[in-house]
This record gives sequence, structure tokens and C-alpha cells, in this order.
Amino acid sequence: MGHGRFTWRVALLALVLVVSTGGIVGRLVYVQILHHQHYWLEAQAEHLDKRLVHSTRGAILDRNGFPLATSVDVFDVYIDRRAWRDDPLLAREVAFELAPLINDQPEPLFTRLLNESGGPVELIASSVDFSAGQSIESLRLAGVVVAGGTKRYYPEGDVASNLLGFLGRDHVGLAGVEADYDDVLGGTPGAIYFERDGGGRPIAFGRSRIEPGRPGADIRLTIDRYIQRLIETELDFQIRDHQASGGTIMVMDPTTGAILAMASRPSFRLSNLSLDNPDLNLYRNRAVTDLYEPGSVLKTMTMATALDLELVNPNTTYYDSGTVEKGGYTFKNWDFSAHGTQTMTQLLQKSLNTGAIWLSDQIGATRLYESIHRFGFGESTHSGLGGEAEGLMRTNKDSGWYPSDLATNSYGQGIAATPLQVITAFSSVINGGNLMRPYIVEEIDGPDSKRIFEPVIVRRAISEKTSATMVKMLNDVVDGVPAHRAQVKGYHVGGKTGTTLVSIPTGYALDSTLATFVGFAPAEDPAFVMLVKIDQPQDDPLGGIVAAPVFGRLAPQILSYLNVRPYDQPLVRSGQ
Amino acid sequence: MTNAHQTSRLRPGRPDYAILATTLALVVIGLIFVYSASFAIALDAFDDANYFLIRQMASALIGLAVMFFLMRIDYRLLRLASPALMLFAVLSLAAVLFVGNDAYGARRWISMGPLPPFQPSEFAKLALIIYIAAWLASRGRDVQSFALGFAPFIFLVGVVAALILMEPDTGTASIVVMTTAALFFIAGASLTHLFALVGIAAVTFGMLILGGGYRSDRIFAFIRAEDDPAGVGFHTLQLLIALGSGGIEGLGLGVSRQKFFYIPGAHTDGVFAIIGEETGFIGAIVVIGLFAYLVYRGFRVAMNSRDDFGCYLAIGIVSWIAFQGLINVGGITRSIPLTGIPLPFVSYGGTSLVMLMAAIGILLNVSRYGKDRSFAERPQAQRVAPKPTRRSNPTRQGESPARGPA
Repeated sequence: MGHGRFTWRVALLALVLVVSTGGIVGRLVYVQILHHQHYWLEAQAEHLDKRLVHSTRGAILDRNGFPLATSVDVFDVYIDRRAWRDDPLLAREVAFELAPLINDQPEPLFTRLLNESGGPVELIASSVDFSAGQSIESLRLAGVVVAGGTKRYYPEGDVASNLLGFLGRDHVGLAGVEADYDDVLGGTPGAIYFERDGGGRPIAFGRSRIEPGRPGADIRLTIDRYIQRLIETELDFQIRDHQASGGTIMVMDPTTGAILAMASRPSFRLSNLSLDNPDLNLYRNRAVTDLYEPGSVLKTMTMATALDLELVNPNTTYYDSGTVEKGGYTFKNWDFSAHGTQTMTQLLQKSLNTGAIWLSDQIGATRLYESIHRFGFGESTHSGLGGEAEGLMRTNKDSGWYPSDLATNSYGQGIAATPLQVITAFSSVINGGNLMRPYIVEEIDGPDSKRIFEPVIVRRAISEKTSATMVKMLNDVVDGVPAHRAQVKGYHVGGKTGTTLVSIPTGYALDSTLATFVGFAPAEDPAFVMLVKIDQPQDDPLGGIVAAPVFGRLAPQILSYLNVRPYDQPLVRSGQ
Repeated sequence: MTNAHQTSRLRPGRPDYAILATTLALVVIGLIFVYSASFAIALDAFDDANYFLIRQMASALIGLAVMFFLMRIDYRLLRLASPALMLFAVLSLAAVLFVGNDAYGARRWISMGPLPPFQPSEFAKLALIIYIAAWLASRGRDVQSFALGFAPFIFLVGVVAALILMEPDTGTASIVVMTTAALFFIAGASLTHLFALVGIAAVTFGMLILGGGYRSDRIFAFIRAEDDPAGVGFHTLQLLIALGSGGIEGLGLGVSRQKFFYIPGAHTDGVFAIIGEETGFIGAIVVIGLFAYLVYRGFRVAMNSRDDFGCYLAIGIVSWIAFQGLINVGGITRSIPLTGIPLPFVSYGGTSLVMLMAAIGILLNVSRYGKDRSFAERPQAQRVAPKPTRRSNPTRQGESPARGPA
């Protein structure tokens, strides 16, 4: 090295460079070695992302395993208009490729693609079926993104709409069984952990981990899709025929409390559901949420109570003068009739209010109310159905109770219950005396567990002997009043009508009634109990005329579907 | 103070192969990391992961050709060419202000049709170094004079720096000022003048920062990046996350995560952060070591040069590389405010790579004439001979050693 050129100036320049380099190396030591952990954690926090993956929602099945609601894989198609903002030709190309896959026409779709009023990113088609979605994905069209999802599908159409309920856009159950069992059906969402780039997109070949979710459990209901469809068709027909405002039909297995079918109107149609314009009035399952006065059907429980206390037997007589004085009020029979000496069976056949009052006198207020409580009135049935009402009743232990209330309560007025409570109480009268817990879910079939629901006896309401007597008496009621047309050829059936005025805030609406009938068949070994309630029929207000024939029409079909042999056609053994 | 006539009769020796090897190593490292840092960006923007790699390779090949050409012709011819080079530099710098492409809020490139865009400021850096070196070599002791030294120097550098500032490109402008100031200093400039120069630069710099815009944001980001991690501070912090997460050994070649749209310009000005992320402290030190060795060898060439022009060329070229490297890496490590200038040889950028390789060609050329090289007198008869035998007559070393300016 030539010493002539190496001056202090060169040395100073070199020194500056050396010192600067040293400083930077020092910074690298600080950042890369001493604070590596800090920056590594910052990098992880920035790069790792998590995306929830919805688990498949469980299906809702009928008692035989036929699906009532299932989830199918679909795709939602989104567009990002920024991809063709300066390139209408590209948008046109995309429109022509995309249109046939989302059931659209190319030209209108092209117009929509260019219309920026919906913002740059918009959902252009939802619930595109699985194969079409996959085709769209494989085309990799500019500005088109598909996102996997599921769609709820109802194979039975509009059957059991307000029982099943429906899902919101986020796939959370909003009504019915979908809402009541949302956590069971929905499962737990899985997650994909992945490394994302600066724009939030997953890095190709980046580390990723999939934490699988737990798919939702299938729920098998006690509902029978055949009976359900049968009663819904009949209910709709009856409501139209009588220009009624609504109604309920329920079918229950009296020995287990399993609900075989349950329909109420007004309701909505799953096929015609609008989440944008919800009509909250239509979504509730009125069979469990709405109260009504059971009316004369309650005479069944009054009679059963008296029989159970051995105060009367079917042939015990009382004298019907047509009027009864109680607590300053005069009570009359519904048709203002007077029948003289009547048996207990005749009391039920003619549905005599004076008789019910006579029975309540024999029983006494305390014992009657205790008994009505044992039948489940005034408490939730704990069926598991959402929005279940407890009912309203006032006893002699409550303030504001008058002795005249006992008289009205004895024939089912001044007391409010849900149709579910009534059919459950009625079941206990004819099933041997056990109040069963009504239930709708037969089985929950999860990914790694299965839960089967057994019938639950809530309590004994009446003795087995009383129940047997009641079955016979109720059979006599149906057979003794053929005009009700509740009889079924070849079977012994029993039942009781009820007609009540619609209670309104100021008292009763005198011109509108609720016509009800609760019946069962066959008397020998009841296979089902059915409640029919027609609200505000316009042509005839009486339960016997409006509701009982509905039972008479439905019962044979249900009996034959359930393979119940008529009493006069005993099983023929072949080859013997 | 040299005698061109005398040395022109000498045949040059071998170039400094260490410089050649170090340069090629940096270029190859550059190609590797330009690819690693750019494939995701390239795939996203151009649907072709190799988009930037192919262009950088083409630039490297052009650069190699230019480097070997400049290594072979006598560097003293550049003295003659320097006014033309300077004129072209100033004209193209002026032109880019009018016909340049708008990119990132600046006009720094001129489109060249199918060819890669041309960046006049990169050309101007080398042209100015050649011109200033030639000018200083011809000034001799007049360098210390105000009228003959300081004033023309300020005018020359001022015009070029002002044109670059107007693009605007503060980083490149400061490289130009620092490199030429270093040359001015080495050539023996008056210390008073130098202090004045530092004063002018400081005032200009201060006014630019106070003028607001992206320059004041950069200062804010340097001091308080954490106060706005998603905005002004984003760039600074993302570079540090890349470096810091690399640790000692790095995440592994190609495994950088920060290159996936976290670091703006991961393959250009930010490539050192990706090197630090993928190869860690070890890789970063290797790259810095290569630069340090290259600069050291460049200083050696300068010290051994036979004439002042060669000395100044060598000092100018290595100062340029050193300053630019220091400012780039200093910004990425948050040692100084972040400035948008490429890491020499490594960052993606065609004009920059070609001009740097051209500069290395000149440096290698100077090295061939060094006092540590053997020379042979060129007989007159052999001047027209097509292939003179090398070192056939290794005599007459070190005639009239060029005197340093001091």
C-alpha cells in the first residue's frame, strides 16, 4: 500500500465507515439475538390466524328416522368488483361463465356485476348447490369467491313448521326444536389455524392446523311424519271448512307421554319463510305456548277425582234441576236444560254443568284443587319445548278466590291451560292413572354418544281402578252421543267434548267459542289420545259438532296406520 | 499530477480478483433473495413467480458485460468521456421530471418500452463520481480555493442533488452528496469549506423534514413507530419483526413470512430484512462482511493507484457502495430513519445493478494499473500487434509515483 496516498483524511473516512458498520452490527445483535424472543412472538401474533369452521348441524328425524330437517353443503358466491373495475370486458367474461352456474342470465348478471351500489364486495348468490359451487371454485374466475356453508333442507316440506322452527342466517335456531335444542344440533365449531399474509389471506404452504369441530347430534323426535301430515291436512281443511281462526290437533301415546303429532294454526310455512319480514305471531307453537279454558273436558278430571275418592260410581245418581245457586250466582246447564235424576255416566254424556258442580260439592274445594294439581294443571309439563306456559288457576288457598270459583272450575272455566297440559292430564285419566311427562325427543344421536329418552312418570294422578272405570265411562260418552260422530267402526273409542267461550280481557267474547274434543282409541288398550281444538268456528259453536267429527275422521286412519286390530277382527292365525 | 503519456505505454496487470469474487457473491446472494422475497408478490401481481428473478438475472448479465468491458478499457479514457457522461446524467435527470413514470408518489423511472425502465439517478451517481474524480484530479491544490474548488463543487453537486430531490428521492440525493463530499474531503478540500458544506446539507435536510409529507413521517416512524404501528410506523416495525424473528440462525431459506405482503418492497429496499429473517444474524453478518471486504479491497486499490484520478475513482465508488449499504441497512435495523434506497448488488433494480457492476468494472480496471501490479512497457511496435504477450518484459515498475493530494 502506497503510504503517499494513505493520509489522515483517508484514515478518518475509513474510521467513519468502520464505526458505522460496528454500530449497525451492534443493532443486529440487539434486534436479532438479544430481542429475538420478543420479535418472534410479535411475528407469531401477527402471522397466526384462526378461522372458525361451522360443524355440520344435526338432522331432526321423525320417530322412524325419516328426516324432517337436514343440512346440506352449499356454497355462497361473493364478488369483488375491484377485480374488473377498469376492465368491463373481464366483467362480461365473468358474467358469462358464472351465470349458468348460479341460475342467472348472462346479461342481467353482467349489469349487476358492474353496478357498484352494493359496494365493492357483495353476496351475489347464496346456497348454490355443492357441485355448482365446486365448479365455480375450480374456474378461478377473477373477482369471484365462493365460501362453503350449509343450508337447512326440509324433506317433508311444510310439515311441522312451527314445531321444527327455523334457523337464522348465522345458522342459529330461532324457533321451535331448532332453537330449543340448538346447542345439541349445532355441535361445536372447528377451527383452522393458519399463517396469514399481510392481507389476511392464508399463506400457501404455510403451517396450518385443523382442529376439527364436533358435528351436531341428530335428534330423533317422537313425531311420526305420517300422523303429523295427516293431522295437519285435516286441521287446515277444518279451519277452512268452519272459517275458523285457528286450531290445534295433537296426538299422544297415552302410556308413554310421547307426542306423536302436534300441529297448530295459525302458523308459517318453512317453504315461504322470510327472515327479512318476520311475523312473530306465526312462529310460536301454540299447542304449548297458548292458554285456553279447557271447558267441559275438565269434567273428566272432576269425575275421575270423585271416583278416585270413592264418593261416586258410574251409576250414582244426582238430581238435575237445571239450576244451581253458588256464592250468589245461579249456574245453568249449557243448553239451559233440566234432566231430573241422572247417573254419573249420563252427567258426562250430557255434559251437565249442574252435575259437575254437584260433584265439586261432594269432593270439596281443597281435595278438588289438590287433584287438579295432580293432573298437572298450573305447572309446566317440562316437555322441553320452548315457551311452554304453566297455565293459570286459582285455588281456595289463593286470595281473591270465591266459593263460586269452585263451581265454574269444576266444569273447566276460570282455569287456563295449554292444549299440551290438557292432553297430558287426559292421558293420565285413561292410561292407568299415571301422569306422564310429555316428550318430543326420543333420542339424541351424537358423534360419540347416544342418549335415549325413556318415558317419565311424573306422579300417580288416580288409581288404576279409577282409570279403568273412566275408560269405560268415556267410551259410553262417545257411544251414547252418536250425533257427535266421534265413533269409529270396529273400535271402542272414548272421549269428551268441550266448548268454551274465548276469554278476552273484559270477560268472555260471547259470540266466539273454542270447540274441543279429547278422545282415545281403542278403549281396550289406548294406542293414542288425540286433542282437537278448533278456534272460533263461524258456522257452529259447539265442540260436539265441530271438533268431535274430526276425531271420528282421523282416528280410523291412525288406528290402521298403527296396526291396531279392530275388536271384531281378532288376529287370524294362519296355518292353525 | 500524473503523466498520462507515461503510463499509457504500460500494459496493465491482473485485476483484483478478490473484488470480482466478492461482487459476484453479492450479486448471486441478491438473485437468491430477490427470488425468495418476490415470488409471492410476483405471483400476486403478475401471475408469474419468476417475474422479478428473470428481470434481475437479465440485469445481472448486462451488468457482467458492462463490468468486463469497463475492466478491459483503460480507465483514463473515462476522463475524456466524463463531460459527456455528466451531460447525459443531468439531461436524463431533468427529463425524468417530465416523462417519468409516477410510482409511489414520485417520478424516478423512465419507461424504455420493452426494456426495463431506466433510473437516471442511478446513472447520475456513477457519472457524477467519474466527473468529480476527473475534476478533482485536474484541480490539484486549487481544490482548497473557494472560487476554483468549493464554488464549482457546490454548483455541480447542487444541481444533481436538486434534480434528484425534485423527483423526490431524498435517499439517493443524500448518497450523491455524501459520496462526492467524501471525495472532496479526500482530495484535500479546505476544512472550512467542508464545514460549510455540512452546514448547507444540514439546513437543506432540516427544511425538507420540516416541510412535512413522507419525510417527516419517516422521522416520526424512526422515533415513535410504536405509536402508530398500523400506519406510519408499520414499515419500520415490520422490518424489525422480520430481522428479530430470524434470530441467530434464521427461519431457513425461503421460509420468510414477512415477505408475504407485510414488508413493503421486500425484494427491493427491504431485502436485507428478508435475509435477516431467513438466514438470521449469521446471514446478515456474512452480507455485511462481504460489503466490508469489498470496501476494504476498494480502499487498497485507491491507495495503490498510480494517479489521482484512479485514486478518486476508487474512493468514490467504494464510498458510494459503503454509504448506500450503511444507509439501507441502518434504516432497516432502525439505526437511522428509513430511506428508500436499495442495498447495492442485492436489491431488485435493473439500473442500480448495472451501474454498480459498471462501477466495479472501473474499480477492477484501476486495480490493474495499481502499484502492486507488474507492468510492461509497451513497445511502439507492439501497439498494433493484435495479441501482445503478457508480462514478456516485466520491468519499469512504479514510475513517477502519483502523489497524494496532501
